[in-house]
Amino acid sequence: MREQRTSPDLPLFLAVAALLTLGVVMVYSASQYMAADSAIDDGLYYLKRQCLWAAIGLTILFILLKIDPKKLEKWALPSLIFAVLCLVAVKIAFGASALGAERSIALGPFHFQPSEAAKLSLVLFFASWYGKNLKNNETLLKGFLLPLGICGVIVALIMLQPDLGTTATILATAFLLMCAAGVKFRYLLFMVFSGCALVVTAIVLEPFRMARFTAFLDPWADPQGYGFQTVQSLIAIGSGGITGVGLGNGGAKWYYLPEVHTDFIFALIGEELGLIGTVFTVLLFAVIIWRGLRIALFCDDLFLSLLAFGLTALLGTQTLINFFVASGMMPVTGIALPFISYGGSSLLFSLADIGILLSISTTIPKGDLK
Amino acid sequence: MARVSWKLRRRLALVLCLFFLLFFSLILRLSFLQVISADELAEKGSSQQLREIPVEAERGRIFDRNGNVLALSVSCDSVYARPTEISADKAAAIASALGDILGKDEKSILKKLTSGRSFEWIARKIDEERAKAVRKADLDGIGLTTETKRSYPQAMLACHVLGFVGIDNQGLEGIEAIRDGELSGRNGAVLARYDSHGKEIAGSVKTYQEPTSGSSLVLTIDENIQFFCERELDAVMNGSVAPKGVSAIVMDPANGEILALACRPGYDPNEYGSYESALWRNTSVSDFYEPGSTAKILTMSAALEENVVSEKDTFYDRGFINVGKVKIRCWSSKPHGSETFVEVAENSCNPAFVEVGQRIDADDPLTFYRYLKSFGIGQLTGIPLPGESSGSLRVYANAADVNSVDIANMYIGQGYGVTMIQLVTAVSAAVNGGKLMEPHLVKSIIREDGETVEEIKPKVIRRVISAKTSRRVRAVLESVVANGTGNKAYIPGYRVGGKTGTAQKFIDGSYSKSKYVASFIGIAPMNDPALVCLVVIDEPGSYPVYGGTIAAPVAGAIMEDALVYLGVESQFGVEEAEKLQKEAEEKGETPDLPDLSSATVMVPSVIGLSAEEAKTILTDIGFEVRLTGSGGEVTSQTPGVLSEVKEGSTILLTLGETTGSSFEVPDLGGMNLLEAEQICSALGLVFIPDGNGCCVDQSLKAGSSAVRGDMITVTFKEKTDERSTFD
Repeated sequence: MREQRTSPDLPLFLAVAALLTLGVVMVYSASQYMAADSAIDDGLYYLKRQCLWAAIGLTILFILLKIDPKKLEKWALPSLIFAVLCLVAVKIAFGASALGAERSIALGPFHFQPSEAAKLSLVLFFASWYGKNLKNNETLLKGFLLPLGICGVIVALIMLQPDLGTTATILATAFLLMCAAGVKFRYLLFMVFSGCALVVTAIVLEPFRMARFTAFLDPWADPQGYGFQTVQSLIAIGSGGITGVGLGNGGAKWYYLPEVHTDFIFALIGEELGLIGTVFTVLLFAVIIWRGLRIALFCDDLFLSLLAFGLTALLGTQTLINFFVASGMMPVTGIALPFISYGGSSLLFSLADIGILLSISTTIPKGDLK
Repeated sequence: MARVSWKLRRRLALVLCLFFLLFFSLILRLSFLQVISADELAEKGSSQQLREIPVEAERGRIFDRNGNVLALSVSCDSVYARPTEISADKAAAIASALGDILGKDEKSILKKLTSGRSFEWIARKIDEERAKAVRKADLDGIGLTTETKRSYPQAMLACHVLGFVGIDNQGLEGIEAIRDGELSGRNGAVLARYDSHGKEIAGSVKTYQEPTSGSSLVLTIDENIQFFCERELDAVMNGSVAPKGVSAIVMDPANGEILALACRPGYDPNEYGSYESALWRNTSVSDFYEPGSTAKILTMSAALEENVVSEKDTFYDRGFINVGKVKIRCWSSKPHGSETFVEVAENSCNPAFVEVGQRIDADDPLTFYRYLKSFGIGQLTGIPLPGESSGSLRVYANAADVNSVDIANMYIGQGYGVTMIQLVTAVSAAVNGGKLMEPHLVKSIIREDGETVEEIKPKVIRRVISAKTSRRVRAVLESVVANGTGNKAYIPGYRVGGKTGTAQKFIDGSYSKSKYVASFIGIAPMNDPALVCLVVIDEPGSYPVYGGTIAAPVAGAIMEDALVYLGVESQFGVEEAEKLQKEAEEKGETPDLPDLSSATVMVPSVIGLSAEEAKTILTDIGFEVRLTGSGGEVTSQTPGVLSEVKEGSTILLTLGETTGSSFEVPDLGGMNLLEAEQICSALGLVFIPDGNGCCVDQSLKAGSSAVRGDMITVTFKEKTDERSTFD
C-alpha cells in the first residue's frame, strides 16, 4: 500500500532555516578576527566553508525528504555497524587530533566525525529495535539489557576518544527513547541511579574531573585555570545585557573565549545580540523540539514515531547541553550547537536529522495535523 | 506495523514538558546573567580588554624673571616595536635596517624584536632626520610615537639652578626635581581594546582622557645677571687662577631674591649624561666651607648691635693674641699696630676681631654663638633646591660647653662651615636693615590654564639686628672696599662694600698648607643695597690665593655689569669723593669729580645704535666709552639718557640684541619648532607653539612690528610630503 504523502512541516523547516542563517552570520562574526589575524590570513575563510557545508547539508536534507522514511528501517543495523567500525578506526589508525582528543577521520579537507554518525545511527537502530513489538519492549532482556548493552559499546568507544559531551548526549537520548518506547519504569529508575552512581564515582576517583566539577560549582575561584572557559563565557553573555553590544562588536572572539566559533558560539550570541538574541535563539530551538515531538505524537507508525522522537530528543539534548555549558549550568564539555556552531560534521548530520524528521512529517495524514 | 499506544503518547507529552521545563530554567538563567549580573560581568570584560596607554602631560616651562625661557618641552619622536607583530623570518632584516638608521647595535635591537612581548622601546627621543628615515622605511611592527623632550635653549646657563629631567621627563636635579610635582602635571591616557594576545584591536573605539599640563615657573633668576656671572666664572676657570672650581651667588638683599647662581665647572643639561655626575652637584647649596674673614661681617654686626664697640674705638695689634694657651696670629706678617674699629675691618685684623668677639661674650659666653644661629648659620635656608646642606656648627647647649679657643676662632670665621647660600643670606640680613630673608627662587607659578598666577611672596624669617646697626655695618663695609682689603672690587661710580676671605681647607683633620678657599662678598650700592654677590674660588691653582686679590675683582666685574644693567643710578660715595679729591690735590690737579661747579654735558641717547655709531657720537662730544656685553646694538647706557655729567666722563654702554624698541617680526614659515623657538627666544618674543611639524602660521605677522616680551603663537602642522600647494 502506497500512502499519500502530505507536505513537510513548515514551522520546523522555517525554524531550522532561521537558525542556519543566524549560524552563518555568527560564525563569520566569531571567526573573522581570528581568521584574519592567524596564518589563514583570510577573514572570510570560516564563513565560506560554513556556507559550503550549509549548502551540502541542505542538499542532503532535501534528498532525505524525498526518501520514504519507512525504508530507513532496513538501514538501521548496517549503519550502526558502519558507525562502530568508524569509531574503532578513529581510535586505531586515522585519527586526526583536535584539542588533544581524536575525534575525526581526515578525508581530504573534510574532517569526518564518526561520533556524529554514531548518534544518528543509534537513534535509527533504537527506533527499529523498539518499533517492532510493544510487548517486547517491556521485557528485561529484549526491552532493556540488550539495547543498553549496544548503547554501552558505542558510549565506551566514544569515551575512549574522549568525548564527554557526545557521551552525555547519547546516554540522555537513549534514556528518553527507552522511556518513550515503554520500557518499564523500574528498569529506567535503576538505569538513572546506577548512571548517577557511575558519574559520581568517576568524578571522585579522578582528580582532574573533580577539579572540573568544583570549577563548575564556582568558576570564579579559578578564573585562569579550570574555571577559565566558563568565566569567559559568562563574561561574554553578561556583557551583552538586554540588547547586546551589537553584531560584530563582541570582545570574546579576540582570543578571550576559546572555541568561540564552535562550542561557545552561544556566548557570542549573548554578547553581541543580548538577551533578545539568546531568548530568540532558545525559542527557535523550542519550536524545533515542539514540532519534532508533535510529529512523533501524531505519527501512527511506532517505528516512525520513535524515530521522530529520537531525532528530536537527540537535537534537544545536544542543544540543551550546549546552552547549559555556555551559561555555566553544567560542567564544561565540548559539544557543538546544532545549525549554529562552525563545523561540517555537526552541520551535515543535524540537517540530515531534520531531513528525516521532515520526511516523517509527510507521512501524517492532513486531517491529523490540526 | 506496530501502532503507537496511548501510553506511549503520554510519555511523549511528559518528555515535551520536561524539555520545556529545562528551556524555561535556561531562560531564567539567561535573564539573571544578562539583566541582573550584566553590569558586573561587562565590567570584568572591559577590564581585561581595555588597556591604558599613558599620554604624557606637557611639562611646564621655566622662565627667568623677565619671561625668558630657560627650559621648555619640545616634541620629538621615539621608535617602538611590537614584537608580537613581527614574523621571525623578517626580524633580522628589520633589525639591520633599524641599526643602520639609528646607529645602534643590530644585535640588541634584534633581541628586542624577538622578545615576544607586546611592546618594546627601540630608541627614545631621536632627532628629526632619523625619525623621518624610520618613517620612510615603513618597517613591519615598528612605529613612531611623539614624546616630549626637555630642551634648555640657553645650554649651560643656570644649569645648577634648573637641573634636568630623565628619559621619562621626571625631574632629577635642580628646580626640575624639587618642583617636579608642579611642573609635570597629570598624565592622561588613551584607553584602547586589546585581544588576549596583547595586540591592539584595529578600529576599536578609543577613549581619551585628556592630560593636565604642568604649571610653569617664573624664577627670580635674571638671565642677564646670570650670564654676567657665568662669563666671569668662565674667565676665572680659563684664566691664570685655574682653580678647581668657582661659584657665585647674586642676591637682592631687600627681598632675598636670587638673581643669579652659578657654579663652575658646569654642564649642559641638554646633554647631562655626557658629563660626570659630580658636575651636576650644586656646590653652592650642597657643600660647606670655612668662611674665614668674610664671616667677620657677622662678628662686626653682633658687636655693633651689642654696642660693645664703636667705629672710633682703637685697638692695638701686636700680630697675635693669646687665648688660653693658644696664640692666634694675624694673617699679615706685619703687625697692624694701633687701628680704629673701621681700620680693623679694613685690615681684616684677626687679633683685633678676637678682642671684639671677647667683648661681645664678656657677660654671656653664648651671645656671639646665638648671633651666628640667628643669622641662620648651621641651619637650612629653605632654598627650593635639592640637596641643601645645613653647614657645620658646633652644638653649644649652655655656657659651660663653650671652649674659649674654639669660640675665638669662630670670631674670625674659622671652626665652622657655611654653605654659600647661608652666607649670602646672612650678609644680606646684615646690610638690608637687619632682616633675615628666606632665599627666594621661585617668583611665581603660572597654572596650566595659563592665566592663574600664584605669586610667591618674599618671606622674612626673623629680625637679627636693628636697622640702625645695619646702616653702621654698611658704612664699615664700604670703607673696606674703599680703603682696605676689598679694594679690587671697586666699581667706578658706585658705592661698593664688601669683605674678603681666605681660608685654608680643612682636610682630614688638619688645615692644608696648599689648598685654599678664596672668597669675596660684595654689596652695592651701599646707600641702598641692590645686590649682594658672593664669589668663592675653590682651590686656586696658582699664587696668589687671597680672596682680596682673586675673588674681589670677579665680584666687582659681576656687580658692575649687573648694576648698569639694572639701571641703578651711579653715585659717588662721600669717602670716595674725598679720597679722589685728596689724591688730586696731592698731584696738584683739579679733582676729577662730578663737581657741579664745573661744566656739565648732557648725555645723548645712543640706545638702538650700533656700537660703532654710538662710539663715534659719544667720543665726538668728548666722552670716554666702555663697552660691555655682546650683540649688535646698544641696549642701555650709564649714566642714563639726558643725565648731566662732567665733560670727559666715561659712558658705559651695554650691547645686546634689540630690547625695548620695536623690530620687525621675521617670517617663521616652514621652520620646525626648535628653529622657530630659537629665533623668537633671541628676539625676546614669548614663544607659544601649537601643534607639531613645520610652521604654517604665526600670530604676529611677518614684517609687523613687535617689542621684546610680546607673545607670538606659532602654529605647526605635519608637512604632507609631495603634495602640491597650488590649490
